[in-house]
Amino acid sequence: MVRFKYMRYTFFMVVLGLLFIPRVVHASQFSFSQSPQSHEVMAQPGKTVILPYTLTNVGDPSVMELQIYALSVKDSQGSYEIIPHYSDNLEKIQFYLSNSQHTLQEPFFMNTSEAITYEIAIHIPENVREGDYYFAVVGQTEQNEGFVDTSTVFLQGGVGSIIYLSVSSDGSLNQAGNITQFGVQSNHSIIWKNTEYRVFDSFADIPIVLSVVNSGMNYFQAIGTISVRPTLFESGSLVIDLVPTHLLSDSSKIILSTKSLNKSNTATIRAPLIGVFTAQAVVAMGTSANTQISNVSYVVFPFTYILYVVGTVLFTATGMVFVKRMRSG
Amino acid sequence: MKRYYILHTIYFIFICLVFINPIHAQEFFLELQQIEPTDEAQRRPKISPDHLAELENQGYSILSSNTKPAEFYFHIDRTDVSFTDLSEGGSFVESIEMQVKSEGGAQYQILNKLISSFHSLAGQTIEPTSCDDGCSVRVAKPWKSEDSYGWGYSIDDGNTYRPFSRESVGLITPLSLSKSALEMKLKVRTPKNQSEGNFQGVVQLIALPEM
Repeated sequence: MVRFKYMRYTFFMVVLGLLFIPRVVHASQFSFSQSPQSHEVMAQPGKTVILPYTLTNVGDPSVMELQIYALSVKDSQGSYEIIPHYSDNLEKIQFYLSNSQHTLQEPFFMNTSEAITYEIAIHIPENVREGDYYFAVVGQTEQNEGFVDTSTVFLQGGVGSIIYLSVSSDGSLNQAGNITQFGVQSNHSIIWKNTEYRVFDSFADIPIVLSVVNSGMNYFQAIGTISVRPTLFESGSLVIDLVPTHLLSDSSKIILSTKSLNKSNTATIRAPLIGVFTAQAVVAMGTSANTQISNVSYVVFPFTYILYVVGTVLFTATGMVFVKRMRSG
Repeated sequence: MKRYYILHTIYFIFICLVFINPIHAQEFFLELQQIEPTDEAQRRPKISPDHLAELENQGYSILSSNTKPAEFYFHIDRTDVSFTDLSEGGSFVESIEMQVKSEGGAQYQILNKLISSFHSLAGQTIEPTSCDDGCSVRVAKPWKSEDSYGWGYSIDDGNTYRPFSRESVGLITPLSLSKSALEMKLKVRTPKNQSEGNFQGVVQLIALPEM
């Protein structure tokens, strides 16, 4: 009987012990993928376009919803700005799920490793203005704000695809762009024969910025190169390939290259010892033969080295004079 | 006499510097000759009306379509961030890791937006941070002062913070997808007389590809 009591106490102790063992708690994760990344579509007013998508959950089970956002660019680095787009105005572009009993913004459950395919139908009203419209189709977690017993910040994830929609009645494109800025960034410059030359010290970093504006009604792709060639001293030339960049209508963007350090810098190159150089940007914009060219010149001179040499010479000369006077004295 | 030696030495150094590199004359405008002049017809490529009518008769409504079939993936390692008792006062920092992958190696942007303020059921609110010296939703600044209360986020390992915005704002994302992991630090600093209660806020994080 006593032995049974001991066993019972031991059992209770084990159970209590298990209750108080700290367990590793895994918070839920958001891991979704969507394809395709983008649709580029040109369509006529009054028509309906159907675009297929696949949304895959590779994380924890989640309650999801599909949301359309109108997309625009708000700065020269191409930063997006999105606002929810609702199909509640018949004069605006309409979005709805094709071949589905469900609607956009209607919550649905997705299990782990589950993938759904859906079709977004876009109806373009007859009287809509011709030009470009940009949207994002986002699969996002439904807002979760249930009661919790600690202070909590909930994170609502979303993964999106872009729609580049050009509305045109006859298939024509209005693609126009210009180089708005092409220069090397230096605090010092000299003007010689009505040309401004930026000045750099030998082996200094030379930041180059190239900005292009889309002044047309349709987006286009900007491609091209920056070639840096010596006009005096030095030899050889450097060709930098620009990253092909899409510019949305009514936006400007700093074009990146293989030598960009960040999104506000087209390229950074190392100055040689000495020379006068010309950097030339050649940018082709869109499908038409619209090519823009811009040049900038700069001077590289070994200011620091000259300073060191002159300082060394003066120091040596002063030393020699001092030693000579000491000897003669 | 010695002075002349010194002067001659300096002149010699200058001459050496000037002539140490071979001189190459102008050679670089040749490619300009290859650029064709543009005209209005080239600027406005058109589908012929006959072809267009033919497409319409076939039931097509899309004039052209180009799809980038690659998959775009976004991962957030946690969907809720809990803090211990905020009423005791102090500084609380939690990390969130995000990752973006693109089959095509496209650039991307992560946009964040404050959906619901950090408030309790009793109606108390922890205000967005203004950092040590007035940061904003677009300008991040250091937040080290113990007298500056609120909540905000950092994407540079806690060096600077800024509050969440009611409008969608892009995080600074790396240039290449090789650095696709991005860490966000969420910080809450409360005074010692912070009112009791469980606070809840909702933040939206959306990843979008760039063309």
